Amino acid sequence: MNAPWPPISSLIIVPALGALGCLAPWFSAKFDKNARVCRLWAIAVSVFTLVILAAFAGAATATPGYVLGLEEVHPWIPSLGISFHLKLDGLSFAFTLLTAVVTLAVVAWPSRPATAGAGWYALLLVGEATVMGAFLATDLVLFYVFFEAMLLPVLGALALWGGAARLNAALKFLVYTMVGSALMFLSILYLGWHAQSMGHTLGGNFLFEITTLASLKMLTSSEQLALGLAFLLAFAIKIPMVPFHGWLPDTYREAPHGLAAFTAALLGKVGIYAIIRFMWPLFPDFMAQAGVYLAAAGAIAVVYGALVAMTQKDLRSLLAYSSVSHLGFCVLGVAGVSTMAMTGAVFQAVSHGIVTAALFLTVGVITDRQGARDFDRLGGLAKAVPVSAFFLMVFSVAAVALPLTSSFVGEFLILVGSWKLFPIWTGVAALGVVLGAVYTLTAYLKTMFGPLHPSDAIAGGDVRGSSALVLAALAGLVVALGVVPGGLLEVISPAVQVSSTSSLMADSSILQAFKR
Amino acid sequence: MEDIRLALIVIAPLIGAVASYVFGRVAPKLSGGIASAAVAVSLFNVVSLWQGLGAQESFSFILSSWLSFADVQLPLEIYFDKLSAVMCLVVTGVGLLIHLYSIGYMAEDESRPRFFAYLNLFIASMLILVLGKSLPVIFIGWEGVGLCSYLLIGFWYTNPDFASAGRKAFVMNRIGDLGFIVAMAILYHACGTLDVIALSNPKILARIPSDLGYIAGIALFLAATGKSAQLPLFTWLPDAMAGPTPVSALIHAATMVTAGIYLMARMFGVVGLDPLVPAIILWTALATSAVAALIAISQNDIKKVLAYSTVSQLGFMFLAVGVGAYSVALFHVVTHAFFKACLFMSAGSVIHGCHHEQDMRRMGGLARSMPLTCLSYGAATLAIAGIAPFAGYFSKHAILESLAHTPNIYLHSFSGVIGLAATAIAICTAFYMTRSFILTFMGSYRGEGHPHEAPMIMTAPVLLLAALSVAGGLVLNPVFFHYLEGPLPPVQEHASGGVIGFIFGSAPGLFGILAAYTLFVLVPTLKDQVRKVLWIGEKISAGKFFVDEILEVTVIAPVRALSVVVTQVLDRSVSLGSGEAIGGISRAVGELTCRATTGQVSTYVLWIFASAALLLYVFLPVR
Repeated sequence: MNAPWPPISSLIIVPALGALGCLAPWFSAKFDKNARVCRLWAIAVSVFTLVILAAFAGAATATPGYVLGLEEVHPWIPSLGISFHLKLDGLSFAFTLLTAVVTLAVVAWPSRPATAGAGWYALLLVGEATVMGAFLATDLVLFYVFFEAMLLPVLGALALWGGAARLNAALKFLVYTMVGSALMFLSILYLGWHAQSMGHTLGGNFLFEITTLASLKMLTSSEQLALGLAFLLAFAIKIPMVPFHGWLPDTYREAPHGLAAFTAALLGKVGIYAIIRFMWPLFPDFMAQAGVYLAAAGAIAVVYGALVAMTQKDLRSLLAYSSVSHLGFCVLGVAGVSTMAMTGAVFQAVSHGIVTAALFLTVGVITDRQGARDFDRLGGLAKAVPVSAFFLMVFSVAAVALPLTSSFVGEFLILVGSWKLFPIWTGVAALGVVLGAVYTLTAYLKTMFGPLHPSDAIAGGDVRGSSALVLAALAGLVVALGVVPGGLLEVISPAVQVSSTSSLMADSSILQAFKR
Repeated sequence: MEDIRLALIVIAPLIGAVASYVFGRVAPKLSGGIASAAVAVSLFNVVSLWQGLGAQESFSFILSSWLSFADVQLPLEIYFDKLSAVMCLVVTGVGLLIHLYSIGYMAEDESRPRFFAYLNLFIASMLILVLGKSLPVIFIGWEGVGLCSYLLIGFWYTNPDFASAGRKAFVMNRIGDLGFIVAMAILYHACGTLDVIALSNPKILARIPSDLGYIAGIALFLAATGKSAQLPLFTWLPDAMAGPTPVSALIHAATMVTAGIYLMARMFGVVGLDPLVPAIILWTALATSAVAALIAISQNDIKKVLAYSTVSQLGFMFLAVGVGAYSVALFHVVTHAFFKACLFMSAGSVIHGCHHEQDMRRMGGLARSMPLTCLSYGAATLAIAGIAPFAGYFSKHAILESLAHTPNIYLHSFSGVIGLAATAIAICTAFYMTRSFILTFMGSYRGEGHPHEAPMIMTAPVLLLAALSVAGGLVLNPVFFHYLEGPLPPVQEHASGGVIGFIFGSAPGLFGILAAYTLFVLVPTLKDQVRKVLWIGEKISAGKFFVDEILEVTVIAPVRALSVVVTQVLDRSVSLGSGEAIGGISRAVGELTCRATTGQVSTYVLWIFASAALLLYVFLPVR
C-alpha cells in the first residue's frame, strides 16, 4: 500500500494545529485587534487545508482512468484491534471538499459573535478537524470518536455565543445526539467482538475496520436488523430525518450565523455519508429490505419539511426546515442500489452544504441590519441592500434547484435515479419541487419585495468587502458545479458503487493484506 | 457537425445580459443598445445557420459534458434543425424588435440596466429551450425562461401585488415542471436515453411499456399546461400582465408561452404513443380556448384582453397538437408571434401615450392622436380575427381544417362538435378583439391629458410586425408545412380554394367583427338588451369563470391547512415530545451520577481500582 504524500491525516492535523495556534498567547493578549489577526491565521490554515485536498484531487485526475482511493494506517490501540485507519476515496473526497470549503467561508466571514475572540476561530478549526476525521475514518471506533468529538466545538460555540435560549438548545442537541450514538457504540463493540469470535482479528484482537468487516459477511439477517436499526437511529438524528429533528430548529435558531452555517452545512452530512460508507457494506440485507422505508422517510421528510417551512415567519426557522426538506432528497437517494441516485445524493449533500451555508450567512447580514428575523418586521429591502438581495436571489434560485446550479444536478440524479426502484416515493419527493418554490419565493418576497419596512434598529449595511467576496466565491462554486459537475460526479460514482454493491463483490485483496 | 455559430447564438445574449447590466450601471442609455446588439448577433447567426440547413440536416454543439459520468450520458448539447430554426427565427427576430421597442418604452425607468439584463437572459434561456438536444437541456431553458418571467413580472417589485404575481407564475409553472421531471424519469428508464432525436425514433419508443407510455405523455402535457397557460394552470398569465408591456409582448405572448407547443412537437413520438393523450390535450385545449375567449369579452384592461386572447390562441395551437397536426400548430405559433407581439406593443404605445392608463373605458378616439399605432393594432386585429389574406387566417384555417380529419379513435366521432366549437371560438375572438379596437381607437377620447403618438424607436418595430401580420401568412403558407416535414410528421395537404375559399374561410371572423361593430357602434342600445338577456353569462365572464377561486378552494387552501396542521400538531408534538424525553433522560443520568457520587472515599477508590483493572485487561495482551 503506497502511503500518499502529503499524508491523508494532514487534513485533520493541519486544522487541529491551526486551532492550537489560535490559542497562542499573542492572539488573546489584546482582545479585538488580535482576533482580527487570528481570523487571518484561521483563513490561512483553512486555505492550506483546501490546498492539500486539491493536491490529492490533482494527483488523481492527472492519470486518466485512475480511481481516487488513498489509505493511511497507523496502529492506535493494537491490543483492541483499533487502528488509526483513514481512507480518501471519491466519497470521502466529496465530503472533505465540502468541509474545507465551508470552513474557509465561515472563518473568512468578517462578522463573528460580538463577544467572541480567538476562541471562535479555534473552535471552528477544531470543528473542521473533527468533521474531516469523521469523513475519513474507516475504523468504526475511530469514526465513532470523531462522530462524537465534532459535537464538542459546536456545542461549545453554541453555549458561549448563542442567542437567549442557547443553553436549552445546546442541552437538547447534546442529549439527542448522545442517545442516538449510544446504541451505535454498542453495535460497533458487538461487531468487533463478533469478528474476533469468528477468528478474524487485527493483530490478535478485535477488528473494527469497515472494509474487512463488510467482506466477512458474518451477520445473520436478524443481527443486521438489530445493528442496522441502531446505526440508523444515530444517523437519523444526525441528518436529521423526520421525526428525529426535534433538536434542529432550536439549534439553528440560537446559533450565531457562522455556527449555524457550519452546523447546517456539515454535521447532518455525516449521517448521509455514514449510511453509504458503513450501513450499505455492513448490513446489505437490512438495507435492501429497509430501502423502501428509507425512501418513504426521505420523501415524507421532503414534503414535511417544506410544509412546515411554509408556515415559518422566522427566516432562520424557515432555513432550518428547508434543510429537513432538502436532506430528505439525500435520504431518498441513498435508499436504493442505484449508482445514479446515490451519486446524486452525495452531490446534493455537497451542494446543499454550500447553498445552505451561504443562505445562513446572507440572511445573517439582513437580519443583523434590521434587528429582526420575522417577516412582519422585514420587507422591501431590495432597494436598501441590493447586493444582499442579489446574493439572496442567487442562493434562493439554487435552493429551488434551478438547472445550471449545483442543486439541480443532485435533485435530478436522485429523482431520475430513484424512479425505477421507488416510483411512488420519488413522485412524492418531487412535490418538493413545487413546495420548495412556494416557501423560498415567499421568504424572498416578504424580505426583499414590497414597500420598505420602516425599521427602528438599523445596524450595519449591505454585504460588502470580504463578505461579498465570500458569497461571490460560494455563488461561483454553485454555478461551476451546476455547469460542469462531471469531474466531481466521476470521482463520486465509483466510490458509491463499491460501497453499495460491496456485498456482491467483496474486496478480498484488503482482507489478504491483513492476513499477511 | 460542430459549428461555433450555434454556440454563439446562445452565448451572445448571455454576454449581453452581463454587459448591458455592467455598462448600464455606468451609462443607463447604453444598456438597451448593448442588449439589442447581442440579440442581433444571435439573429445573424441563426439566419446564417438556417441558410446552411439546405446543405446538411442539422448542426450540433456540446457546450459542456454536464451530467455525463460513468454510464450516464447527458451532455449540455444544443442542436439546430428545421424545427429549431423556425423557433429560433421567431425568438431572435421578434425578440430583436421588442428589444428595440423597449429602448423607447423604458427610456424613463431608472432600472433599465436590470431590465435589459433580464431580457437578454430570457432570450438566452429561450434559445437553449428550443435548441436543447435532450430533455434535460430543454429543461435548462424551460426553467430559465420561468425564472426570467418571474423576475420580469415582478420587475416593479415595490408593488407587492406585482411581486406576488411573479411568484404565482413561478409556482404554477413549477406544478407543470413536476410533469417534466416525471416524464424524464420514465423515459430515461424505459428508453435509456433522453435525447430528443432518439425519442422520436419508433424503435426506441417501442421500449416504453404501454402502461407507462400514456403517463409519460400526460406528464409532458402537464408541463406544457404550466408553461403555455392551459386549464387549470392558466390564471398566472393574466396576472403576469403586471410586468412591463414589452415583457408581455415578448415572453407572455410571442415566445415563452409557446414553449409548451414546441415541447409537444419535439416529443410528438411520446405524445402520440397512446391516442388517449392527444384526446386529453384536445379537450383541455378546447375548454381553455373557449373559457379564455369568453372571459376576454368582458375585460376592460387592454392588456387583460390580450392576455386572455393569448390563452385562447394557445388553446387553438393545442387543438392542432391534439389532432396530430404539429406543423399546423407551429404555423400558428409563428403567425401568433407576429400579430400578438404587434398587438401588445401597440397596446404598450397606447399605455405609454395615455400616461400609463390601461383601462379602455378611459381611452377612445385614439385613431386621431396615434394613427400609426391604430394602423398596427387594426392590422393585427384583422390577422387574429382570421380575415384573409392576413397572417392569422392561414394558420387558423389550417387548424380548423385539420380538426376535420383526425385518425384518433377517441376523437373522430366528435369531429363535427369540435369543429363547430372551434369556429364559435374564432367568432368570439374576432368579436372581443374588435370590441377592444373600437373602445380604444374609435369614438371620442374619455381619458385625461393629451394622448400622444409613440416615438420612432417604438413605432418602427410595431409597424414592421404589422407588416408581418398582414403578409406573413401569405408568404409562409405555401412552404411552411413542407419545410417541417423532416422533424415533424407530415400533415394532410388542404385545398386553398382561391378567392371563394378566402371568403368562406373568413366568414367566422367577419361575423365576429360585424357583431361587435353592430353592438358597439351601430346600435349601442342593442348591447344593453343583450346584456340583460345574458346577465349570468356576463357575471361568469367578468368573474373569470372563477378558476382562481376554484383553485383556491380545491388546492391552495387545503395545502395551506395541511401545512398549518403539520406544524401545529405534528411538529409541535415532536418538539414537545423531545423536550419530555430529554427531561427524563437528563433526570435519569443525574440520579445515576448522584448515586455514584456518594461522598465516601472508599467507594471512589473502589471505582478507580475497577476501572484500572478493566483497562489493564483490555490493553495488556493477557491472552
